[in-house]
Amino acid sequence: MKDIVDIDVIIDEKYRDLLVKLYADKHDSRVDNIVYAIENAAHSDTSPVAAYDGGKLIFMPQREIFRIQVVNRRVMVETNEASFESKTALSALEEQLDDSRFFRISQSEIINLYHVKSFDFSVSGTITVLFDNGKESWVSRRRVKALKDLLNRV
Amino acid sequence: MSIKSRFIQMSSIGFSLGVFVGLFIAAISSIVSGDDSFHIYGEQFAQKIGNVTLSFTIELLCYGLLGVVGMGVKTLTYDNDKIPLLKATVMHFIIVMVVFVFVSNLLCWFETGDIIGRMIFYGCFILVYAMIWAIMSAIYKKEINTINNKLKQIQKEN
Repeated sequence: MKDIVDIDVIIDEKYRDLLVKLYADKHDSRVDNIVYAIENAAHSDTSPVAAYDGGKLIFMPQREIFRIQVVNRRVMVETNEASFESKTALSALEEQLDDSRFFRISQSEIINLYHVKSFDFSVSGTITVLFDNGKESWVSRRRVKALKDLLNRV
Repeated sequence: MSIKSRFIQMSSIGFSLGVFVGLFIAAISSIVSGDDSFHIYGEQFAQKIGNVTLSFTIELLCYGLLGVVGMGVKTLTYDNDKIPLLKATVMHFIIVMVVFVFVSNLLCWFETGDIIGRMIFYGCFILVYAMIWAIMSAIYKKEINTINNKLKQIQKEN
């Protein structure tokens, strides 16, 4: 077995979005490491988000954030593990975030579509978004069309 | 635009729309009556007031009021995303119905004692609102289904 990885690069106009296929005889740590490295590289053009963990400033990769919401006038950046406070206004953060991944669902909340499990429309007419981690948020009716347009573009 | 500004803007539009619709209905009623005269004002109400000009002015203001309530209350209910669609529909219906009952009684739109006529009209009113809610719900449900399907597709690709 060789130590190095064979890499075939195929340049074809039909692949507008980068597609990486990994062939291996079994799923092991080597495969996981390569996938992680590719993901990191793919998302390196999106800037990390600065927030405070207590008094300590940290920088979070955008892919780890599942939502950013305003709670009691504080902008809270939430990951699956914890919530952190950002000193940046929500509208300013919105400009910084990857607009193919993040979407503003209301005046006070931006969500990461890649952490969304599904959207739901209840009998009472409330639209909610259910995340992979089981949490829920409410979606503004007026944002439904824009959401649909975004998903058609992505 | 703030809710207050939007309420004022939509109420102004509603007033004009209400007056237009009221006069349009008067024109249609005149055509339907077939007696070759234009029934621009309610005769029963004019007799009650005793002054045709005053009664017509009050009628116009009432048409405008219905328009104001219809359009203005919409900004406080349907346009307020924090209110669920069903609640918004019920709130709008109740407010418009209360104002309508007041206006219809004032302008003598129904014959005295015509309970059946009133019930039929109010029933149609309820039906219209039920249809509005059902249609809007169906549209949103379809949009959400489309969104969920597209989302699954994108997440699968990634």
